[in-house]
Amino acid sequence: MPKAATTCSPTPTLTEIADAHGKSVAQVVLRWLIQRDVVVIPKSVRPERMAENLAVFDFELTDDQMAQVAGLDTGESLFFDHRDPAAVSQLGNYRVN
Amino acid sequence: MPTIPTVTLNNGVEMPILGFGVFQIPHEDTERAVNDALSVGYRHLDTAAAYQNEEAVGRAIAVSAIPREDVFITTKLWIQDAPAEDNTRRAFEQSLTRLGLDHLDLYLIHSPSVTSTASGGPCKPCTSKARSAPSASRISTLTASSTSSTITRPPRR
Repeated sequence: MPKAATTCSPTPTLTEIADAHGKSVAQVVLRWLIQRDVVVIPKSVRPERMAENLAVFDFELTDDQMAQVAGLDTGESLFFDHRDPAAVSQLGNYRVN
Repeated sequence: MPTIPTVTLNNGVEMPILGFGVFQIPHEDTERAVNDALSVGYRHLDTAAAYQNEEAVGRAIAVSAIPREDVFITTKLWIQDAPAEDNTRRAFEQSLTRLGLDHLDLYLIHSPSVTSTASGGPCKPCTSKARSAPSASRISTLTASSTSSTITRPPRR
């Protein structure tokens, strides 16, 4: 199975927005998705990180901050690209049972 | 413990907008991780047959004192294992058995854009089989994951 990226390098934009709200970059990313009505399912094995990921309902990104984050899109996937024939072929040949 | 906001799916089902994912958690750590997540306040668990950890998720759910109706549970069908129609029902039953559940809140077709058949893939027959099987009453919502937005519609608040 293809490995997902384990890190998303914080950019100055994300760090500034996080600092403005007293939150982490990860929390800002989750909040940005939630405000776009995307259901998020973050993974962690650390209880403190699980709690951090859950603490995203006590702040709100402004319209300007939402646009700033959207402007970071490079059009390329950090890990698995469903448009890459080689990656799709690998996934298509994977069997669970 | 915070109440997690929900989104309303197109069929009226309420789904917590934040859940706990178990993809790529080492198998030996999965049960403990799910236990911790439930203790911290997660009420939505996301797994898949392809993650090969449904049993561990099921064990964590079993030892939890949280009522079943208070946890939204999702798993996914790996369609490369279900090219024949009856395999879909078998895969669904296997997932329920591994999870130790009698029903799912959400059953997803995992990566339906990935197919190896010239006919367009098993997506349509496995979907229809999942809908028509007697066990279909044990799925609240059936749809697809890891696919384009042209196939699924966004949820409404």
